[in-house]
Amino acid sequence: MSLNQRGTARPSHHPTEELLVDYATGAAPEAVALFVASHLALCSDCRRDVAVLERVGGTLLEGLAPTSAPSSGPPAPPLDLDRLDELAAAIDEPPRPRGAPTHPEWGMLPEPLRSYVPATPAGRIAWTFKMPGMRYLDLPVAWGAIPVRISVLLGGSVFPRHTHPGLELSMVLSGGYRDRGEEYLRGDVCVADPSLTHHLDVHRGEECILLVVAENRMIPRSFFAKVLARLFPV
Amino acid sequence: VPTRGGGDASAPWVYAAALEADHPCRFLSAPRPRKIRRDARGVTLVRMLSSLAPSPAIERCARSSGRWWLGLDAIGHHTEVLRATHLMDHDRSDSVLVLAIASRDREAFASLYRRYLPRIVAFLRKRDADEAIAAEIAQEVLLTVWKRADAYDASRASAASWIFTIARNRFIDRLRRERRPEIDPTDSAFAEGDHAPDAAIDAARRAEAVETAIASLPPEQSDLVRLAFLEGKSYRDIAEERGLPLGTVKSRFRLAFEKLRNLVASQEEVA
Repeated sequence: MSLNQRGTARPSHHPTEELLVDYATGAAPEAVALFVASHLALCSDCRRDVAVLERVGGTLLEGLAPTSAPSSGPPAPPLDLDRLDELAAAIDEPPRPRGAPTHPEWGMLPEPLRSYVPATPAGRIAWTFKMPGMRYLDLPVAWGAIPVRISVLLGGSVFPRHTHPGLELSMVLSGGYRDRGEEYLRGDVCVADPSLTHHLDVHRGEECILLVVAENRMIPRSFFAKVLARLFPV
Repeated sequence: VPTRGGGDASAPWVYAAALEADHPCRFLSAPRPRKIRRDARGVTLVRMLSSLAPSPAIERCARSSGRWWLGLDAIGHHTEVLRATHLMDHDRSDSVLVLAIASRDREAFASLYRRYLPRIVAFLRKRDADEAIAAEIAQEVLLTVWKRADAYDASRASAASWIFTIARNRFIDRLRRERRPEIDPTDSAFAEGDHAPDAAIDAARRAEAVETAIASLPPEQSDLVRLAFLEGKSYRDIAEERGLPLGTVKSRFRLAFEKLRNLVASQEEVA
């Protein structure tokens, strides 16, 4: 994360180009697209890259030779210009994002992420409490079989050495940590794969909240990590 | 340079977009009388209503070499300049059509529909939709254009790329039966960037640069780019389909994307 010209924070660790391209083409599954879109909400640099990629899509779409209307195929649906509003109204649209957050704890969640997060009847985030002081939240969307998760790491803790059986994408929503000499703050992304074994030093004084999208559960490498993984799944 | 004079003496002459040669200024269906003339190059100029206060955007349009085009919002606010934007010559008609559609111009919609329906059908066919479903979804895409045209921002995206995103999302919604998460720039947690918000010129130059860059990609890169953007294939699908190591797919995309980015950046410096 670095400061931009206006002095506001801005992410310095970004999704891979592959993630941005798969997002722009539409190839990314919903869980991955949710992850990328949540980063885009916090990162104008990547928004700019995605805009360029979408322009590539637009240029190629424009250049598509119209299929030379085969007589066998059904004709283009006739269009009644006088009924446009009626026809357009009949199209079901994706659900609109929920309104403004009712409690400050929602403030760390940018759209479209916020709309995926279940709320309690009292309007708070519907965390799952694993044991006192520890909580996480599984969202109603999964990558394969693994739900997208919002994980909370305690301030000042060390998340022990572990590796990843598949791709794992994580992004800081609040707080921060240090990994291999680099700082990770709000909006910063870590893309981990099986070749990476690492541990995280969570900043002191505040918990670190992460959005985690994984193909598979991570594999703890140390004894302590194995115990912790039982107690507190990330 | 447009001249002033005649009729509403206080109102400036501004360039209006000539949609197509056969019906110039069709989109300017403002309910009040206005004057229309053409400049030496045949570009249509319109005399605005006298209540239109000359704004910096209009002044800029009026001073330009003729490559500035105005979109006007004809519903209710016809005295306001909705968007002034610098568009590519070949692209202006599409973007202007969408601006016209935003002011509920049905003829403009019919033009856009004729132009894009076959292209969107071809796009969906590449993504394995059968003919009937492709035609149905393509129509929904264009009706979505009608419905959301007022959200189109010509300074941020070309009409083609905007339509591409709608078609892509509709495909995901209808054929993959998934939600498509999209950013919401009005959200309170949305982080504004420090890129110049008045980036109209950037958008147009970027569009031009992207086109040049795509045309100049070596065949092995443009093949992958087409598989990804038209057929919706992921890096992994492409590696499998072309029998290439994933690393090769990644590096070809990296080279292609670097070229795109560099050309876009150099165009912006020129601007």
